[in-house]
Amino acid sequence: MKKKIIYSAALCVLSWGFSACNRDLLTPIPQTSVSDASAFSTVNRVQTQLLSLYGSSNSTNIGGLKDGNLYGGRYVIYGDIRGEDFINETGNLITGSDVWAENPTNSATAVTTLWNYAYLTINKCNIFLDGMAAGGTKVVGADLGKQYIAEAKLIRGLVYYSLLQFYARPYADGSGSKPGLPLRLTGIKGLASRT
Amino acid sequence: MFSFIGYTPQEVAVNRQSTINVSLKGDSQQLNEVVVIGYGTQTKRDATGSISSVKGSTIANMPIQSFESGLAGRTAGVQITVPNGVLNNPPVFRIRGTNSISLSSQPLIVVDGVPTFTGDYSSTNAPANPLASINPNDIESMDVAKDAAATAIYGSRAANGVVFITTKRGKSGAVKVNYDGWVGFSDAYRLPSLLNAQEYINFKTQAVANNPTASAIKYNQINDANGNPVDTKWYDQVYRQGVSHSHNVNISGGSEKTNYYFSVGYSKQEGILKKNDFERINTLFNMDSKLSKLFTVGGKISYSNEKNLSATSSGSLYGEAFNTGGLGRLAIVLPPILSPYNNDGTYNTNGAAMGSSNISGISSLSYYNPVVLLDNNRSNSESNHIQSNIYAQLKPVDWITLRSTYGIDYLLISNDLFWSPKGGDGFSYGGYGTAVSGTYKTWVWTNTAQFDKTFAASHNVSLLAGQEQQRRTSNSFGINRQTLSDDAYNQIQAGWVTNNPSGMSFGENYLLSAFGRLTYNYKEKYFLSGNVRQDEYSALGEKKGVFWGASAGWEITQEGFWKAAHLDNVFSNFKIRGSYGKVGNIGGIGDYTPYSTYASGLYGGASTLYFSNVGNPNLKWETSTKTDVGFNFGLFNDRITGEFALYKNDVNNLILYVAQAPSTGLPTNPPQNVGTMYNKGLEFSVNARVINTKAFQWNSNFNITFNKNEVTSLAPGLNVIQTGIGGGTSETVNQTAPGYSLGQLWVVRTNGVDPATGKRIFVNSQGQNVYYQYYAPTGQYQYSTTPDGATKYANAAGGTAITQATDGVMYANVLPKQYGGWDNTFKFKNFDLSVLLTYQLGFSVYYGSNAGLHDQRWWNNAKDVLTDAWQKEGDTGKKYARPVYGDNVSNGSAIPLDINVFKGDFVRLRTVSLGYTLPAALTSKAKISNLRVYVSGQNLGILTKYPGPDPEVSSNGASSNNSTSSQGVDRNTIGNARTITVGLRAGF
Repeated sequence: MKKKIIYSAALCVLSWGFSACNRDLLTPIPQTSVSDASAFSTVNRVQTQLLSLYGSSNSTNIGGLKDGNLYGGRYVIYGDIRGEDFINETGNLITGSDVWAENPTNSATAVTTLWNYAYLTINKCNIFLDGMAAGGTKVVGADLGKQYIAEAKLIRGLVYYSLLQFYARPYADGSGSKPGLPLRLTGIKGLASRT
Repeated sequence: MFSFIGYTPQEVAVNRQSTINVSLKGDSQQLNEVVVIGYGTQTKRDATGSISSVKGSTIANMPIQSFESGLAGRTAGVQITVPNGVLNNPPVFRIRGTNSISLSSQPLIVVDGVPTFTGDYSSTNAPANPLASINPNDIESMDVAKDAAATAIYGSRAANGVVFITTKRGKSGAVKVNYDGWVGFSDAYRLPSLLNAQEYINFKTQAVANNPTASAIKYNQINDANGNPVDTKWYDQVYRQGVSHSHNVNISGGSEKTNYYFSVGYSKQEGILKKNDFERINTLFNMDSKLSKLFTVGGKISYSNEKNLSATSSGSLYGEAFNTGGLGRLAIVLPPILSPYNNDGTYNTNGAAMGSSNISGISSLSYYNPVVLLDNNRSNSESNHIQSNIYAQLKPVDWITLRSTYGIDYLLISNDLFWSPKGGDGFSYGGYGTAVSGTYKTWVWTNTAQFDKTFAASHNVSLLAGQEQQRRTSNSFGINRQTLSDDAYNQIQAGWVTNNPSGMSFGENYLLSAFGRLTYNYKEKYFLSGNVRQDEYSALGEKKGVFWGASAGWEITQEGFWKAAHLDNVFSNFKIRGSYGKVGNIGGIGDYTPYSTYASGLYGGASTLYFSNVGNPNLKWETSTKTDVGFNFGLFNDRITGEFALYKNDVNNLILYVAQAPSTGLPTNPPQNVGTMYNKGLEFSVNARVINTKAFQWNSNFNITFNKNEVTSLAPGLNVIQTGIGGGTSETVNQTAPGYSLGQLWVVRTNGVDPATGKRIFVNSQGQNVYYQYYAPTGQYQYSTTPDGATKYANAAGGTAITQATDGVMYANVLPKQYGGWDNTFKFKNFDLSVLLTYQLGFSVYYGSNAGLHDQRWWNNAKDVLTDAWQKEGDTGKKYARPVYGDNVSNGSAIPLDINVFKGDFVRLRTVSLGYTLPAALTSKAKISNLRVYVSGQNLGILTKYPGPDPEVSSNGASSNNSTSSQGVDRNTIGNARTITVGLRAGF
């Protein structure tokens, strides 16, 4: 009887003993990306984030000033074809017939790409500015911090200015009194209201 | 040994008796049978949850790659849809309806106590279903747990049901050796009839004549090398008769203390698509050993190597439907006047595409030459799968059982893709290859203590307490190489110009759980049971959850009043039972979903870091509250047994990725627990020994499930979810909205073809007829409200065309409302015949391929265009519009139309098996204890109004996260095969 109790106690102790010591596995740290909490914790992270405001390859839905959907192509082309020296014959949305005709709809490719990517870029600028204010400037130092913040503000301003050319009402209609674009000046990283 | 079906066998020693009187007792065997209930077993008599059991022997020698497709029609509540004829494709497996939208709705599969990998683990065009590592011959039983009481022991993973697979173990006694072998022949069937060369030229020339802008196009008949007119049957180039064979040997035996089971199997199966093969070698060893009265150890080791082979895309897997190289599509789209080879024997190609020099006026067809792809390309996935566990069990006293089990499940996948530069996708690259290697590992460690005691001879109590950890890691990496340095190379390690990383992924998750179960019964008359489990899962924001299920049962036949009414002479058992509980679903959640993360990119050679994934720190599991009420009965000494159940699953906290306003600039849609859905229904199954005489026995088993699925809410601001085919944007035909079943077909309505002009009549959102012509002469319009084409159509918003966005309607339901099977087994002397019919009713299928079969570009058409297309004024009741070259609107290619939605209801002769067991006297001379030869057929016939090859179809498969909301689509897929096998089983 004693033997049985010893055996069972041993088995229990071994099993339950080994078992409970892996709780940190419940909060894994992503190994192939940087988590939100530490995105501004090193100089390298601040600098690479600033670079991404100009553009990033490798994936879609990133945005960036020189992304193909902004200054890397689409924005420039759309600007061109709205000039008087272009005629659109095919009625093909892929080649921007709705931009040429200046009557795009919400779901057309022209809008979902240009509008989308412009705001992706603006949001990244805002996230960067928020992060710099929250601790990034301390990491890189005041001088570099000021320079980086200026770069981000320039990119954000340029993108807003570019969007205005396409999506705000012309001065002739209301002399600037009509609403133009949603103005986003703080970074959004999670659920937001649908406004 | 005296035995008879339905009676408990009895062994009587002859001794010196010359006459032996034996009286066999009626076999309540059904009730004594043991079902696996998760961390233990229970007799059916004691079970109050809803569990069905299917014996492994029913699926043992079917020509399938993994066990799931063998379960079709065998048990109530289970719906299996084999998506297409490509080998080793995971079937759509639903228990009591579809219970998730964004996560997986496949059940949790537990093999010998270890939850295993499910889904398609291949990144190539040959799917790799890890469940194929379990040789169906090695399966002892499959227990399907359906309600909260039976599944809550698996807590956060139980919402879709749990399937327990138990592999065979040895029994004490003499060594038994068995050999099973079969040879099978598979053929494609019900392929649509296509135009031949002459019909194609005539019909297509007519279409060109009807379009003045297409006058440059001419279809010319040419001759092949022998001078005969070219009339290519593309089906013969793409399909074949697949010859398969399979061999299994198992050896088992044991003593009083130790038992063992060892098996080795080899299976080489050929699919109906050329070059699509499945080759598996597997071995299994199970052992249990009782070392002393207290102490038992045991373990299992299983190793399987599977080669999933194909040449190129079949067009049938998730995301492949619109591939220009999809073989299923090439066979129906390519004109019969084109020959795969030129007359000098070289491939007939035009750059990457099919050569089309005898069709003038078209510079390139864009579609590929299938023969080039079949000969030169490969798309393979090889998996090495090790599943092993070991346990130690201690019984210090006879009512305490302590057990510790450690198991591993290692899946190593090696993917190899090669596109030759000779044509097809590889042409523009000058050769393209990808090789990706993935390692997926699981370990599980479970400790349980079970206490079984009977108090006062009438109170039977059983208490289980347990703790479990499960850890999964995954990593894969690979390389993609482009532009071959030498035309003769075709391996990834050879010389190439460009190198890119490919298939990089890394993940890990951890599940820590504690669980308990208490079952109580009073004199086997009143039953109570409760399960509870606490799970903590790393891939959630809110990690800890508690799940539970409770059930009760009442065995009326034990009651005094029942016996007084003499009802127990009729009913051998009648148990009323009910259960209620709350379980969860986390299947398919990404390991880092709750976290917001930044990813790395490149900008001009320098690294960048950008916000890439929107997380949700409050993310939790989907919850399913399950209610189940029913009864089990047995009549006339269990001659007829059956089960009846009513159930309701209320699913809430569905995870939906809700798109935010674009101006928020979020890179991904944040996941939220926000949607709700329910499934409710009825299950009924009955098993009867209809005729039970010595000479002839007939056993019949029928089951039916009625299921209603409805989505009740999505998310604020999210009114509908549209799911494109293959997750892409080429065609979107499933839409999910509150008040409808999941993933309804969303199409534009039509009103036939105008008899006067041959124009397709569309019905817009206001119910108005709109006439369409592809070619609109000057002064006329494409969309017009009058048949003459002169009145321009404009809808309320000013649009001048019919579009799916404006005029599409929720049209038809794709989830079967009734499904089940009917299995009959006949025995006559030494012959046995079994016939299984499966059926699914009350659903529709979008036969998208039909749109392509009536497309008026240069595409080949189905033969019915000759009779059903409008030709002249006065043709009434025609299905297809006047053929005008280039028209891809009237037929449903550009906009999904109701003319391509058909009822999918079917009754299928799924399995017929005729066998003969050689007389024992004969076989024992050769030291063979039993020998059965058989011939069997699978998918021999189908009764359905569906015009496509197979209404049991799914272009979106089972295993992507969009699959739950995009069923019922048949877009360029390959139908299931009809297979005949001949085999034998010998026991030594």
